[in-house]
Amino acid sequence: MADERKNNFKNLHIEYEDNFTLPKMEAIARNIKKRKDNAQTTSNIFDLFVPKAFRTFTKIVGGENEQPEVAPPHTGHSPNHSEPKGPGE
Amino acid sequence: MSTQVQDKEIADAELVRMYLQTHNDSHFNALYRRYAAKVYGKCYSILKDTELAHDAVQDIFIKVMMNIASFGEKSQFSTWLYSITYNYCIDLVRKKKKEKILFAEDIERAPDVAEQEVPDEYLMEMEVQYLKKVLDALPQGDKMVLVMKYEDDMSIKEIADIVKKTESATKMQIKRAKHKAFEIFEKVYKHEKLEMREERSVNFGKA
Repeated sequence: MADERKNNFKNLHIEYEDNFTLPKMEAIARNIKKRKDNAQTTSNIFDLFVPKAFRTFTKIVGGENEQPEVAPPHTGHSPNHSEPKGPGE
Repeated sequence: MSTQVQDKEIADAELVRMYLQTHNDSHFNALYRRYAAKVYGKCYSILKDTELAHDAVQDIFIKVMMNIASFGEKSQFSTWLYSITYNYCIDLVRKKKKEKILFAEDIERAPDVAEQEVPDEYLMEMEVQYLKKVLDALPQGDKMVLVMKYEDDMSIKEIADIVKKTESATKMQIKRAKHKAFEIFEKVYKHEKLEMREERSVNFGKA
């Protein structure tokens, strides 16, 4: 059951709430949307350019960003000998 | 926030879930429309400045939007939102006033036996105009705990989590805040109220 007690804290709060006008509410909503869109754009730019910039930077400072091609392990045999042999070979 | 959701029957938690799944702004907008004025009222009651309160509403809802995925539905959405609101206002008051101790450390001490428990009704039934004056005369921290308890019906645990105190320390701060409010009213405003009554009866007599 709802609390029926008199509570002027709630009435005082309603008085404060009433000063929040609809145009102000809408203006703030627009600002929030704008901020969200800006954050989204910044994030997209970041995702698009930062990895590329990082690769360029590592090339400039002399590091190799890409994985060097791994040579096959040297076994001392010719490649043909390292192939598994079939039965009867 | 173009598409409007008919949100009257949709629960807060459901709107949060729908927003997280679809990223459709209309779901967030529904929550905003439901709570913006309430958040404004809280910010204004603490900050006492219209512009600051408007900025606070904007910053708080941006914070909510950024952190909405962390809303775990352990509490009600409103409680989660109000805790963000109070924390924002506490930080702002601390920065503005350089008042580091909003929730005094001395509340950890043993209760003062001389301080009698002020009944809840004493404050809840105080006329709005006096309640406003009494709350504004209280230290910010005391005012906030009273608002959390009586306006938001928060539990002691929820208040303690926000003010970062133990539950017993929070109970003590509420008790002391009620006592301070009682003293302010009795010493400052009770006379004013009586004088006004007398003035009215004199004028009524003259008429």
